[in-house]
Amino acid sequence: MNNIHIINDKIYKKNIIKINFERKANRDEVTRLNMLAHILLNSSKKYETPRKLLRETKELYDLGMSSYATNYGKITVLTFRFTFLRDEYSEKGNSLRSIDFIKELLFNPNAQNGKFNLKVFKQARDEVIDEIKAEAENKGAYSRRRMLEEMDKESPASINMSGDLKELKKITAKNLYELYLDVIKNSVIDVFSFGNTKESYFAFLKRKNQKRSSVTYESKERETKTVIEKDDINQSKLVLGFNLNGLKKEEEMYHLQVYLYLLGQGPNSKLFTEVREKESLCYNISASAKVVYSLMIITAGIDASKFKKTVSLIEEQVQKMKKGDFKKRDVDSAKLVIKSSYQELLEDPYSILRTYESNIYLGYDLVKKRLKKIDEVKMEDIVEVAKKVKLNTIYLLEGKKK
Amino acid sequence: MKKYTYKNIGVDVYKHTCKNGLEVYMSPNKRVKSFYASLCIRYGSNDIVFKVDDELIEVPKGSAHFLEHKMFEQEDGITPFDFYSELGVDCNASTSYDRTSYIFFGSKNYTKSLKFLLDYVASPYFTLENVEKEKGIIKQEILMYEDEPGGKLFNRSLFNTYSKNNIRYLIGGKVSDIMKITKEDLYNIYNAFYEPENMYLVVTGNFDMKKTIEIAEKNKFKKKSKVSVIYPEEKLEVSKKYEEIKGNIVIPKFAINIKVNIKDLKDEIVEYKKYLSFYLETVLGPTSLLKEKLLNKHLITSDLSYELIRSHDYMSIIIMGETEKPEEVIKEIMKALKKFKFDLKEFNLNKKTLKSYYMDLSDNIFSINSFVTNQIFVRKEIVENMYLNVDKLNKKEYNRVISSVDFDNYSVVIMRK
Repeated sequence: MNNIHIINDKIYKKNIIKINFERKANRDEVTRLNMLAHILLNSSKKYETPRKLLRETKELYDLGMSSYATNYGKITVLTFRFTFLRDEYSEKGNSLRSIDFIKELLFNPNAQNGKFNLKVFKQARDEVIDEIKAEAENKGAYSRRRMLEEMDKESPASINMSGDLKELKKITAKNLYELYLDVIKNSVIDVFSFGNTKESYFAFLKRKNQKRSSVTYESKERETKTVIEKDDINQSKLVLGFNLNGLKKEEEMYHLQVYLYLLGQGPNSKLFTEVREKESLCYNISASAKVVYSLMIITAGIDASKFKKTVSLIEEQVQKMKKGDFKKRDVDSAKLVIKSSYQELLEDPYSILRTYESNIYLGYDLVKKRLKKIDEVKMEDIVEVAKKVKLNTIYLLEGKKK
Repeated sequence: MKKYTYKNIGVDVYKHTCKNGLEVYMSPNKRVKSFYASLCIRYGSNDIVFKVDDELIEVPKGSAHFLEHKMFEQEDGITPFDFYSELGVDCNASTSYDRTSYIFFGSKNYTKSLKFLLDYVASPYFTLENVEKEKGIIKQEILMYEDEPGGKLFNRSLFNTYSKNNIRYLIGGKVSDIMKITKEDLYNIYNAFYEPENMYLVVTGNFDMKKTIEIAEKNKFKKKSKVSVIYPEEKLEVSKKYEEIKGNIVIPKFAINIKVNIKDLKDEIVEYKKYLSFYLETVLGPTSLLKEKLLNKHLITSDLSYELIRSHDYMSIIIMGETEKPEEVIKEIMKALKKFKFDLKEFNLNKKTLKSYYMDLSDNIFSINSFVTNQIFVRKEIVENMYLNVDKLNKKEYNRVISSVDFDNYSVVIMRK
């Protein structure tokens, strides 16, 4: 299969390029991958310092770039994303100059004698240290990850993609460069290009006969476990983790979407109306799913003293869904909203790219097909999905009681 | 109807003024299927004391935001949430220091959605019971924001920079403020500010212009008696020069707030802000010499951020960052800011970046909507030549603007663990 995915478009003014390096998800490698993400966009042989490099991005009409590692179930994807104005909206040659620039960053790193330049290495390390430390300040992200750890330590869902400080200490300018060579040589590579580009622009990233591995991970079901941790915060964070094992593709893509909307995504959802509007227990409450890890998460910001009441109200709503206690008209409006959100995907280049990515990695339908399929979801389908939802972990990051 | 065109970026905006004074700005884009509408009311959290006819009214802090929540309460029990989700359309609302917005977006049922927006914002239904019920929800919202260290630092910085200006208070108010709010307060605000000449509608994306005008003309907003907001006098000096606060954080953070008097600036405020942004980008931005120096000394790892916030006669230049050694970094920043030297290359790079930003606007119905909303809020008109105006920015004016700023008039807040 071709690994250069060109999505032609005549409407938008920018080209968006995503270059993905895919590896087996591995807890020990994540910190190094994150550092690699930082170091490659900080400098190169030609642009030795971040300042020189960033000035060049401004010359290219403010070319935008970012890099990050994400987990797609059992695989980790290291992404480099670039956006730049097309020639007709900037000047002739801007696109090709931008592609040359990208090539320089990815394939001509600031390294010699088998190791990264020590100065840029230290800078990238400082950045990653601060990024790891900063996670503790984001209580929402922290409590979600802690719940995932308590639910299943083995699951790639619980890996902190920034990495950890202990692993960071083991990284040297030499072994990081070795990883770089391995990533370039042995990863599965995919290029997604949205805009006005040609396949030939990406000849340097062309690969043949790449093998893809399966991505979906399932955690074991068990008796519900409750974990409470304390922190000096005003609002307590409640996170509930549910198993969602054995979903078929149709269920994952369509039945589950309607289920989630009815339970905890729409402003008319059970969680929003029963927990927020009727009981005033919270400002935020929502349900979401991470299907590649076969799980569903409900989060809410609450007052610590309302913990038990909120949990039992949530459990009650989940039960109602299993019993099919929802109306046909709610299902119909859920479908409308979901279709409208599909429509919006088609109008956002970043989302369009993501639909191509999930098509490649997860075998998901592209938007046109989705619009048809969602209409076919029946009441019974939703109840079937509801029955597969099993509460696994209740986690509370407990703050002050007010 | 009048047509305006943003030159060079290919965006048209049509303006229609309804009989009762409500202004409608429409920027159609037939290449997309969705639409985005926002109704902006010129009333925000800063507007606490006001005069209606001869009566002086004062409302508790946080009332503007509270009212925005309560606008969603309807007498027949059908809230915007109910109504829009049935149509498959998204809706929301937000409040800032100087305005309140009610929005919807989707790709189907546009006319019904627009009609409903103008109806529900025109029909307040505040009762003792529904006001009390909302307090629990808003309390949780306030507590959630209190746990965000960045926001807390930012708010503290405004609090310390100003002595009287209401921008020093939280948009949502404190929990003790909102407990005082009554339905009478909400009606007082509503009756004074939710009137056709004090609001405007901006619609972008794929929609029918003729129908939009038809529906807008039928709006039920009523003209009210004369209202004036009373803003307290603010002195030039900052209220508190230095403070250290504690936060639930790992890396210390700081905020520098430079207070600038802009009382005498009228329309030129737009260019003024551009020159200032160019300057801040050059001195502190990702490509600055200062950033390089701080990186090399391992004092920072991420970009410094800067923001300009205006409130009546003053503007704040707020610079924020994270570092283990805040005192040292602040010293370096202030030193760099006071050492003004014109750099033609950086100046031109800034122009290129600004042009790229304008170019990008038209690709997204959300960006163009908020851009038009802002421009109307500040300028009260569409500025067709903004892209071309970038080339008019010049060294002489730049020098004049930057040398007029007193970089010694600032307040510092440091947050430590």
